[in-house]
Amino acid sequence: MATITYTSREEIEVHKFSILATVGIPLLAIFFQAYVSSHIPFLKLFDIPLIVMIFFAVSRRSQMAGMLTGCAIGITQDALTHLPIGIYGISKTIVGYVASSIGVRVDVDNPGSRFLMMFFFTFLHDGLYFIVSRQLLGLPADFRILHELSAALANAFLAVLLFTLMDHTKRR
Amino acid sequence: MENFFTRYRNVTVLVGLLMAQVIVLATQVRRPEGATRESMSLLRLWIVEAFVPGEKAIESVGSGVRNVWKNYADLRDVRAQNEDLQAQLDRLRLEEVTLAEDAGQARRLQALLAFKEKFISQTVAAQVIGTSGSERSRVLYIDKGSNDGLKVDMPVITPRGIVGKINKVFPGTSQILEINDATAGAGVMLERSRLRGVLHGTASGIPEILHIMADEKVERGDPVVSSGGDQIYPRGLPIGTVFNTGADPEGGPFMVVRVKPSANLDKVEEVLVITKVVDKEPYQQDAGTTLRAADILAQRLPTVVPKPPSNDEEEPPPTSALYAKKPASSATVSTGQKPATGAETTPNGVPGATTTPKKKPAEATGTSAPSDASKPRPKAPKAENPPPDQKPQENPQ
Repeated sequence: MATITYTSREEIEVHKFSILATVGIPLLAIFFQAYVSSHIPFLKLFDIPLIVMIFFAVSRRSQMAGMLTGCAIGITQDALTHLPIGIYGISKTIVGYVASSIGVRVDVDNPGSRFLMMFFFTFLHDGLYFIVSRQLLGLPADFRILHELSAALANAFLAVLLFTLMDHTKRR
Repeated sequence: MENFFTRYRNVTVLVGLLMAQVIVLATQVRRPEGATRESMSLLRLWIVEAFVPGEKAIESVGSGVRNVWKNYADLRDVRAQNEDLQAQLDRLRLEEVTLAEDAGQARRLQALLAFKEKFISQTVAAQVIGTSGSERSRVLYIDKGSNDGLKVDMPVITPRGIVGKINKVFPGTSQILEINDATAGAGVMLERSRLRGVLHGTASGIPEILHIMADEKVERGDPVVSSGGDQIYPRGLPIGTVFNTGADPEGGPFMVVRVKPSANLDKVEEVLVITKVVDKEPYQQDAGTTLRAADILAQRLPTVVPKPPSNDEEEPPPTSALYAKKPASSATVSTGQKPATGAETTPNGVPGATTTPKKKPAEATGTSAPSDASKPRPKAPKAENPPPDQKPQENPQ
């Protein structure tokens, strides 16, 4: 049975990255998020590690790589919080898996599709985070729908810019 | 079976990863003090310690550049600031006279109530070097850790108010849980109405005081201070002001008081960690060696030197009439000695006067002292002024 895709065969191109980019960019993103947001508070609205993780997931088009990248980035983020390790880890593992699955079927090099994809994944990530922290662990957490929507919108805008920059690290 | 795992390899790995993390989460929540917790702490330690050197280095360079620029900018305005400060100093000197009198009165009342205060005796200054990077976890990282003597649960403040408490300590850094985090709390008191409550952080970052009856009068702008009841934050530190009030979300007879923190929690750069708090009973100093501010003022103000009494049986000067209704107090006064040097006072036939020879009149009078506090208090030393030739010897200042 043929798989239904929304892109031509030529557009499904698996990108590879150097070790430096694979390790360095996510670490730089986490570092930037942790350090700079202490000086620029509104940066906490963004989730730059999530953007980076989705970029790698959809570029590699490998579910295994997507979820492992998500898991590693999520656990590193968890370690910097005061909450139990695994909340971001679970959320980003699932999002990484879904993002890499979609990357196989959808043209993810188009700015419009990147915007929509990032908006959807940020919202999904925040929803998963809420479910794990509130429903699984019973931690005090709110799902403020307007806030989450605005965060998804902000991340989507930023992702379009960052994806363009990170495209230069691809090895064809 | 082999085909199944080959075919669903990715899904299997996904489920395995999720299960592993759920188990890790469960062990952290259910066994907070076990071997698993230890290994998680190690993981957290490694990751935090990996990020901290970079943050410290960048912060160090950044603060150096900022300081150079700030020093230059400060020098430009220093003359105008100096004039302003001089004017402010003159005004404050005038206010000091009034405040010293009020402070003396407060100290006397505190002593009567055997009020035990907690005084901040030691702090460590630290610089903020990072955050969690997430608004779901309102924590800060500072450049001081267990190597600098910091421990878990030490309060962290700025001159404007409470920031939070130390949540985790690493060798070179510490994690501060901000007071507006959803998992944070503090015992607080509304300064004006003296209502006590528990402050809780929220996901939105605006802390709330819960369980205050809806019919209590709480106004916007009311100062909120720490009550000391949580055994973490010393009593009386500013926390914030009342931002607004709302109905109890659970429909109970309470209201929710939202508080705007005094410290700018979104942009904290330097903090003080309170490393030592001592219990101190105010006004317990040796009266022979320490004078109150009001006593010093009373000695500095011009006084009318009374004539020396011709003999011991004579009536006391008119100013001592204030103490005439209080036998214990008058016992000290009638010795003709200053209270500060009361070690050599004689009993003069009044019970109790010898048991507290070094205490000041307000303390020695026991329950009658509150009425003293409401009266002009420097009268006693003035009335006891000795002849001019003896005065320099009695004044330790």
